[in-house]
Amino acid sequence: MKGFLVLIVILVLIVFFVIGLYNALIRLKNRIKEAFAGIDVQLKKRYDLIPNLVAAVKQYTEHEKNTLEKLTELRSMAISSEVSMDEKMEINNEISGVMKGLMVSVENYPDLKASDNFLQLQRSLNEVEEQLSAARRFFNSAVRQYNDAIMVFPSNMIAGMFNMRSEKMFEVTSDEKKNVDVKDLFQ
Amino acid sequence: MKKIEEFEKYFNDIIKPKLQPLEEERKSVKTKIIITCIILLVIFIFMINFFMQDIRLILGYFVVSSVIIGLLKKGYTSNFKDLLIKDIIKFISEDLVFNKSGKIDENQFRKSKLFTDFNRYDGEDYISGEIEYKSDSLSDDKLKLEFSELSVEKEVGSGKDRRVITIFNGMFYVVDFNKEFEYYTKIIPDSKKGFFKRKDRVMLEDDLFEKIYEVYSESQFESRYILSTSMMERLVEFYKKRMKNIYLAFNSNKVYIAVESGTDYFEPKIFTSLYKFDIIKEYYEDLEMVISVIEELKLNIKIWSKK
Repeated sequence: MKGFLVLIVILVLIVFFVIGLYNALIRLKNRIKEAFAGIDVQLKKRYDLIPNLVAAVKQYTEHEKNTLEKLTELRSMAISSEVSMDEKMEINNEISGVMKGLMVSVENYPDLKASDNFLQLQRSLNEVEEQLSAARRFFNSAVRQYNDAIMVFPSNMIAGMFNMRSEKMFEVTSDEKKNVDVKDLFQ
Repeated sequence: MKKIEEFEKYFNDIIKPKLQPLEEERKSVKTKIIITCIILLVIFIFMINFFMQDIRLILGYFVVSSVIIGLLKKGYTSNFKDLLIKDIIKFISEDLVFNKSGKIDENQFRKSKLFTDFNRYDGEDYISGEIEYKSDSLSDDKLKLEFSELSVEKEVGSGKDRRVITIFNGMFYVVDFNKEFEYYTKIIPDSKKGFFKRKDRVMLEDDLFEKIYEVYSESQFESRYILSTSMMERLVEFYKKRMKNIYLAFNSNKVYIAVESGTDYFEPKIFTSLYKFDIIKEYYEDLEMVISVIEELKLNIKIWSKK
């Protein structure tokens, strides 16, 4: 009789333990969602700023037509619902690249550079880039922690049971590293 | 803030001459102590037969000797610190005010939420005002701040079991930042972290930074926004250079920085020359560090608008 009770207690403890592990994994997974939502918020802010940027540059110069068109195109693609998550990530990386190039070109148009409108835009864009960088870092950190958790013992068993798989991190784009340079350009 | 080389020059040109009378006093006290020691030793040797009779006599003699030397040391009252601080802050900025007996307001200290469990609070050498510094190539900005030495303790037990635990001993800086932090973030030395994992812990990518510091925040986003790669590097550099525990907190529109120091910055040693720059170099460099943290913040958070 006593042995039976002990067995029950052990089983109950194991069940609680498993539940605990499962919950921890779910929490980590939710963190990833939270982080992605944060990125999304910043991306949306960026989408909203792009038309203003295009308009401002057009006002001062005819030369950047191609770049501006490309930017507008990329933006439409990014917003469209027909594009997969992975593709979205790629498009946004491209947007970052194009915008950086544009900002370098702007150096050639002192009138544009000095205009209040543009300065304000620049500040907002900078802010968005910084927030985006922070959001991406949070995302990668969340993914890292989740991926680790589903691979270590004993949570890997639970992960296996419920078919949890590794998530992909945002590539640390050369953006992040070059962010510092871009800041210098804005001095 | 002006560079430390400029400060060293100022120290050599302006401050050192002022220290002369104090240095003379120190030397004379030092001589007196050495002579007294020699005399006491000679007496001891002459009377060695007398002393050998009973070990308690030897002990008694040492106690009396210590008391005599202690009195000599006490006679050396040093205005060193007061003189130095006034001149230092005059060099740093004209808009700084020094209050010897002042300290950071306890409520302000509590707002930092860096140290919460204490019942004794004291401090001195309070400085407040503004420091000019270059925030970017376009403008000179003024930094509004206040700082002081603090001694924060917790008294536990009662009667014979009474003990005093040091909670924090060092310099505490409170800097006004022209942007509101929406959430609370704090950075503490890794060695001070608790045993249990906390939900508000922020895990950062810089491995070295993670080894030295631990970060807690109400927002995983804002904390990373504050702790850019370059900010983390700065904090790591500071620790490597000084091996001092440093705590930071970002709350509403203030940045709190606490630098733990084991010993008083300005404790003049009788056997060390007062002309040594090292003594106050750290005081100046710590202030430089605080300002560089703000500069770093402003570099990253380029928009400052309370619009």
